[in-house]
Amino acid sequence: MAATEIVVVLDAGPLIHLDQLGRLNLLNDFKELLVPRIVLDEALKHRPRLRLLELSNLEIISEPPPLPADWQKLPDELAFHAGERAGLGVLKARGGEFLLSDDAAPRAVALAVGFKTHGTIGLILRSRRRGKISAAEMLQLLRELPTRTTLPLRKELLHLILATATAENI
Amino acid sequence: MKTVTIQYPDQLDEQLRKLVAAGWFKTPEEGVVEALRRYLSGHSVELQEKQILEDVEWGLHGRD
Repeated sequence: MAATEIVVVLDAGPLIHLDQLGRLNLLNDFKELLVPRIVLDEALKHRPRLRLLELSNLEIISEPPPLPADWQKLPDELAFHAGERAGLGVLKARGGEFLLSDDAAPRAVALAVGFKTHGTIGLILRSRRRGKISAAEMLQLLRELPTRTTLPLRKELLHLILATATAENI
Repeated sequence: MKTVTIQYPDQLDEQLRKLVAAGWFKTPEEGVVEALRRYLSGHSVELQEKQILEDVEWGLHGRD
């Protein structure tokens, strides 16, 4: 199945977590991956050997546009740092569809201003739905989340996700 | 604003001061506040789990 025409903006979380799983290439199933430079720097701080060469459609945005004035309120209230503001600014300016993030606050704000947001777990399941990985690989990646990644995930919730994914038999 | 006096391991202090020296924070205090803010932001358990479950639905049944 060919990569979709979807343009996404990446926060540091999915970059870090998919790299920890050795599966950054799952991000290649999008038309464009836009990453503000400040976000990439944060990811590199945690993963100095981040395998960026695996990303075929990556564009690093060195000077993200500022947030529109009417979008400032929520990020101000939540004390967003520069990377989180940059991601929203790029979404708006470049007509991105998804913010890919594993942090609750940026996802909530992106949703509030009209964008879809997804995270590492959704990306793994989507990769199976779109035939990029086998069912066995999907389940293995999910099972390995607590041991190979720094993604916070309650054990009971992981069990629910595994049971749901297994029952769906995608 | 609240003032809290804390003790933390030398190893953490060393890492924090490296971040300050590299320009990530203006002061160690700013780094501690940012770490706390990030933790609290990332551990809004109900919201985070709701988002994950929505993600599972999208991952399994989404059309994009």
